[in-house]
Amino acid sequence: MEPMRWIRGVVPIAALALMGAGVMPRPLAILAADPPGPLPPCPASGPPGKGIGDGIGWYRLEAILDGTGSLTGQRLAFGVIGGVGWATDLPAESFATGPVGTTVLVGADDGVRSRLSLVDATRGCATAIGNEASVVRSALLAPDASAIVEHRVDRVTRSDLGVWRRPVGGGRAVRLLAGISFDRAYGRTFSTELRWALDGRLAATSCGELACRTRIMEAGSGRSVEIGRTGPVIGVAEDAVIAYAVCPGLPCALLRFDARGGQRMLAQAAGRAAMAGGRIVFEDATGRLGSMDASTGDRRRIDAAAGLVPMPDGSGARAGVAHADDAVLLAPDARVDGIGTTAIGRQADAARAIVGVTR
Amino acid sequence: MRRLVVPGISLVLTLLVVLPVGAHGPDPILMGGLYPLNAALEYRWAAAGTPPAAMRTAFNEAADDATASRKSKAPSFAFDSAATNLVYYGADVPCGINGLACLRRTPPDWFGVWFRENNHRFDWGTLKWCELSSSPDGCYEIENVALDELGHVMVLDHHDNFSDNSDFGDSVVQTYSRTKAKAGWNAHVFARCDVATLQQQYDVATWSTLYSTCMGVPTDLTMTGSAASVVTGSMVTFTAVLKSDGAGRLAGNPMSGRVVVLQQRTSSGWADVLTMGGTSASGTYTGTTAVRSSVDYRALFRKPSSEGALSTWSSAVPITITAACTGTCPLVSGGPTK
Repeated sequence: MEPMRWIRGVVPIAALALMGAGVMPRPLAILAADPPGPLPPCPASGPPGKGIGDGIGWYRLEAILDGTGSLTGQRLAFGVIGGVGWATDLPAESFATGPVGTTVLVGADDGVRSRLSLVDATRGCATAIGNEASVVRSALLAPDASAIVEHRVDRVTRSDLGVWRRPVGGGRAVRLLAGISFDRAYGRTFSTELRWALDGRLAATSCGELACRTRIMEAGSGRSVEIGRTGPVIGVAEDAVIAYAVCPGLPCALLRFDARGGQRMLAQAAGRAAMAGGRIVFEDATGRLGSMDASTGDRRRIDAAAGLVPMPDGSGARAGVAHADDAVLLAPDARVDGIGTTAIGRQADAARAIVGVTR
Repeated sequence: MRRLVVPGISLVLTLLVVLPVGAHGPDPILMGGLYPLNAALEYRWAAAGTPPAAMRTAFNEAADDATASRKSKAPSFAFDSAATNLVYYGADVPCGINGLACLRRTPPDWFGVWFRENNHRFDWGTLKWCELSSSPDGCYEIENVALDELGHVMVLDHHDNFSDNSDFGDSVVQTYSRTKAKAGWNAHVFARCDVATLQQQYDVATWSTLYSTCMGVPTDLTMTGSAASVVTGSMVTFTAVLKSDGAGRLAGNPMSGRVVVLQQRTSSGWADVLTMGGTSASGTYTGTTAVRSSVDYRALFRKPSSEGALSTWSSAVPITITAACTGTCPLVSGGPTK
């Protein structure tokens, strides 16, 4: 049985208290017009909230499809646990990441400019922090909320323009990583995903139709190492990435790929997986949840509620709940969806709903 | 899953996954096992991600394509609104940030296939499904991609192409999908290296199904004669049995509907005598000829260009003339009697 000591501080204490009471209160309502309009600007009252006292932010993106099934936009719903939720409609080429505390980073591209904003999940307002001519495909807020890192492509050619760092308080963006060069072995880049390692390094994973390569960059020196050829990445562990093998779907092997080209099999057949605090949480071939130490391979079973699966993190995630770095979110079908998204807690039976979201 | 053999399988898997393989041959296989032979797999549209009408039509056509072109006892596919297997369309794809579509398979219990939504934004630009977007150049065809996914459901992994992709047409189950109007963008049948793996894993559909030319299946031919010694001009009936001699499911299969030739030994080698006819017994062929001298006969199966079964011949069957014909002799007019 997984004792879950590894997920210390998994959710803030306030949430744990509520978990003890069972399902948390739902938000009173999603406050939005139909269709939801743009968010009002936040009053200039200091940086967005990121502390426990401000609540636990959550968000989810829903695709908006027209009658032919074509994407026309995305609806962002967000709020704080137990509080009021909001919604706003975004263009098709949009993203949301986080939250860090109660702050959701949102990018919206209208076909002419990419606009970045920090959305306050407590107050339902947005603070503009960037406006780019190139297309900002995704971005992450730094853990200390002082800056964001963003991945850009050229608006016309869609060529990779690399990863940039932008101070939240204003100032010039600086390029951290050059655009990745074309490699026939990977084909054209379908998606690039950013994620923070626990030690503060930044990982940028560029995936072709099937295979991915990851560059891990040290914040101080700017030195980066590249690791390929992998499937989608679920986390960074020291100078290695934890990633799927190159598979057409699931289940798929999970391996540890290090920067020197070495590989170690971690699980031969894994379903959905996420990583936190040096441990991997994954579905095994039978659909049961387990965890594994990414370094030692030590395995534990997780006695979580049936039907809960790990939610992806990184800038490609389409939903999120603020949580500690060493925690993994579990949710029905890996979505903050409907009522009952769950974060795993420190107690052995702590797979309880901490977010109740109504559509 | 198979944890006791982790080291060996890990090595194999690692090699398959990581090394660029230039070898040409049947598609690799996915982990997770097989469905029962000739399993009838039904699917329905996911309630929370129902594909638009044009995609439903295209997927159903791909299901028909898969069923019609499997040439094996691999699963067949059909829509059923009460099915447990799911086809999903939308933005929430569980298989990672990349790719057009993906699947999850846990045979024999369940499979799901996910398609990203039309107009999905990738780094390279906007995804267009041909069937949903007036088919501009650069679009991906749903029917083709769905056939690829159904191949995965069956067991197929991506084909290992030559470095120059000159063998792209040998497989629909490709690592990189091709957009309109590049060659292969709208292939609607499993190609020979897809079929080869399906036959290896699930056996051929019938005993007369041709073996895929993507492989070389050894064969075995035996023959007997109705008599070992006869008087001159007697009719002797030869019966030959042709079987595959491949690995796994391709071992010991009767091979019907092929061309098996009866040969007799000559001073310079072997010469065709007649083409033996198939019988009601699977893999069995017969031919009757008049024997006028002591000579060896054998049956021969020549590898046809349309099939991956290799040539083979039987052991020689000697027929001995015991005496010249006297009285009423068999009518012989020149060549062998058919």
